[in-house]
Amino acid sequence: MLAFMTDRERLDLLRSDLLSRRGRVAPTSSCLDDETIAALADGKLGDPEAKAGAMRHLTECEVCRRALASVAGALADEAVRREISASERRTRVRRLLWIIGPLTAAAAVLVFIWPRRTDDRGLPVLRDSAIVGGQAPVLIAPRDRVDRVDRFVWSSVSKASRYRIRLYTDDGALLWNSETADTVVPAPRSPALASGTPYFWMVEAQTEWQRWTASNLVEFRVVGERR
Amino acid sequence: MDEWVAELLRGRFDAAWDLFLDRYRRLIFAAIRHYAQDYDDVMDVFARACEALRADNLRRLRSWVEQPEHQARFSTWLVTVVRHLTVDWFRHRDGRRRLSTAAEGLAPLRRRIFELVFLNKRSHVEAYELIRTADGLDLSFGQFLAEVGGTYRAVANGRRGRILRELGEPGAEGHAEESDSAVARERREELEEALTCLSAEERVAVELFVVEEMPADAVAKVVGWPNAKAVYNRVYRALAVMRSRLEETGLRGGTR
Repeated sequence: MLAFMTDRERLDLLRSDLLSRRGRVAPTSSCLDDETIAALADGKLGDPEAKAGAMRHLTECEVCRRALASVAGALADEAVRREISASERRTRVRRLLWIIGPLTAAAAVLVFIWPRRTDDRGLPVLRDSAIVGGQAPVLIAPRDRVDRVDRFVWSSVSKASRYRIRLYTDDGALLWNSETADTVVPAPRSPALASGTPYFWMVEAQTEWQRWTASNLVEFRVVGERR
Repeated sequence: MDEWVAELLRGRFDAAWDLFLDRYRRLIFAAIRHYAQDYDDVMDVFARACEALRADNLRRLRSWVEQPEHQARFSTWLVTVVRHLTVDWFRHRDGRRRLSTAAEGLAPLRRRIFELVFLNKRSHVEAYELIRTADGLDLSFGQFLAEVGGTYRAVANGRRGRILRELGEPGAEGHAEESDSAVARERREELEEALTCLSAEERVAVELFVVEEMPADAVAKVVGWPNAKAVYNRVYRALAVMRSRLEETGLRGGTR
């Protein structure tokens, strides 16, 4: 039969032969558990010995191969991906708040117990941390997943004379900050934003003398080219 | 630490469950809907998944939480568990008889393919030979494979969704070796021999990419290759080696 087939048909036949092979068809005690299947699907089975064992098993076990392919298919499903992303975002925001929260509280305590300084006109200098109230800036871009980040854009706040932007890593470290009177600022050339890594940013608007109003913290990650 | 995990570690199982469900309900539903679109099926499977996850004071969740380190993300593990429960639920509920109702709307040739491949667990080669000889249909193997692909798609796109594919693909319930033709058996042996020239990773990649039709980037993750391009290159190289080996065997045997 092979002699009369095109190359494409030969490849199809090979596929069909592979399909018709009978591997292990019923689960056994040596089958991979759910966590190993999940780790393989995530590409995170780091232990070389465990990985080699899993590979050996997969060469023989149709049940586990099918389960792995099925899980990979589910993970590629747009709705599933969206829910996983939302769930992980909630975790990161919670972790970030958990880090920032105590620091903010500590800063607030310092403001009240620290001796007040005066400016060069002898007037008291109020704390410059955010005081939420009135209209807050709304962060427009970047949000969620973006191909690249050229600039940061947010909505204007009435009577705001200037804005302060802060960029954080997902463990709460301040990566970059800048001030501007505009509602857009070019993204920094340095540090470069790593592809796939989550970042958080926020903007504070100065609405009165020493009065600031802060946006929500927004997450984004660059999925396209690095910059 | 997540709130539901904290409650679980404190032994407050009801509170942990409420927090867990509040957090992951949508993901569980999304995973179930990947396999089944019928509303009643989805709701029934969701109830079953909740029952299984909550059983024995959240034993499954505790077993995850109590492990000292995790290789997979929790969300991926949860999708894996939900897939497992979903397939089990359908397998328990649906037998061969119900499966056959999925073929009702198919064209005659596809219905015949469904019957041979899905219900009678024939290989594609056997199904092709049976359709040509017993049914007297004149079609090339390429045309036949196109019809097989169409049958899979028609079945997978039906109300019961992808789950039918999980339940009904050939080989899922074993195969009667004695019913194999000598040619098919010989060819399988040749194929097994050809596969031995590949490394374990290459073999797994071939199986996942060619047979299970996993996307190349997902295969790259599993076997630890750098990217999808590496999968294309190495799988096609492996297939070429296998094919030439099979052809050599065929020529030596003089059977084809």
